[in-house]
Amino acid sequence: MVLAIVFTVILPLVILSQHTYGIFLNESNSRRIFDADRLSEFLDVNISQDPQTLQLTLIVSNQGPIHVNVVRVWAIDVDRQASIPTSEACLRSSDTSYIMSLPPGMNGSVAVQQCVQGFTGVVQFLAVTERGRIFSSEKIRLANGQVVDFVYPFTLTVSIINMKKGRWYEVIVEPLDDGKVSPRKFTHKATAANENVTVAFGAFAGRYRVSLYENGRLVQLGEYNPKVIYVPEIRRRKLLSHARPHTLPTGPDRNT
Amino acid sequence: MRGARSGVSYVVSVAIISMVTIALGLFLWGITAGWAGVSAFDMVKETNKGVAQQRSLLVVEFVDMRNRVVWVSNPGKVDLVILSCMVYPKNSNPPPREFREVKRVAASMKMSYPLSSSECAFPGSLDPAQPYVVEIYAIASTIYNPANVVENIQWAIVVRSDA
Repeated sequence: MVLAIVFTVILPLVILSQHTYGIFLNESNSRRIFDADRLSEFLDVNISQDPQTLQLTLIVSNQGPIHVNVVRVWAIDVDRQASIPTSEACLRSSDTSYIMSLPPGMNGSVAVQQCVQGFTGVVQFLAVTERGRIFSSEKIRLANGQVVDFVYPFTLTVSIINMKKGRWYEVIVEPLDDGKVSPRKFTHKATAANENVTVAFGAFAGRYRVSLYENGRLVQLGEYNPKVIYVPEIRRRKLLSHARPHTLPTGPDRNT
Repeated sequence: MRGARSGVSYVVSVAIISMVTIALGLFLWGITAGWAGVSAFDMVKETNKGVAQQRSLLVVEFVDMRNRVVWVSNPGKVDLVILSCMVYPKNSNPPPREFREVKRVAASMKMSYPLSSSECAFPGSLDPAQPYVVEIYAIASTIYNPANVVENIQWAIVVRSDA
């Protein structure tokens, strides 16, 4: 009887116990592998702007050792912590394809200008992978959907003096060569008689035409309006040491 | 004299003892089999719950502070039932939780699911510059028991994420 109980009850129970434990271990191991894969994902997300079209592109580089699929891209208004342009993710993968499918070491790009069209503020992009990791880009400031350059080596200041009350004044700075300036236009309405205002423009080296308009008309100041100015490029002087510079021989006939 | 020593015959006594032994054995067998059956059932049930928990995964993709929406997705292997969702300031204690079936989230990264302010508890005033915590309880739909909240919480996964 005892043998019967052992063989018909205890033994099947032990076998079932081992089997269920094996199933759990298998699932636990599968999850561990999945988590290890998730943690191995490493994407480098950068924002690039085409210099010709000024369109924004998201460049995603797979720096990790495993294949990564990007399923969603969010554009975030950083100041308000809200998604743009709608309340949903800006780019979503379809049922049949991913936004990006990146093998290890591969780069991919996707146009994101439509996400930030007309947007002014600080934006950040989030790339969501199929395994549920989220990688973010750097934060950039946009004005009307275009990148605002903050780092200008020179400051061009324009002072408007003795303005007439109630009139609109406009300063326009146009690059005449490869120069770059921001902003290109400044508009101001004088709220008092003889009001003065000084405007600062960030600029690179180059030639610029500066024009002043009053109520839409060019102010007649002779050769001073419009005025072409030249912002020179600073060249670093080579600092010489106090020691006398050495002259190295360049040929056998020269003495040292 | 022989009539005075009458008693149970040998055959009958053996039969009675055997029957009692067999009955006790069957009783013991029944008890053991019953215990084993219940144990096996519990074992399979617990294993199912453990496996379902291992397959559960929930990701908070983004918290939209302006529209008061928490976006979640499910990269796991099993559909999930959201039981509780709350957003609270990082430097404060979490408010009391209320567990109910909030939303079902399918196991697919093809979609993300919004949890609006009616489904997720937000604080009265939100300052996007301040840090917040999102806390979500979810359970695999395969082991979800709408009649037993405590059991659901025991096997739920908890997701805490900075917002």
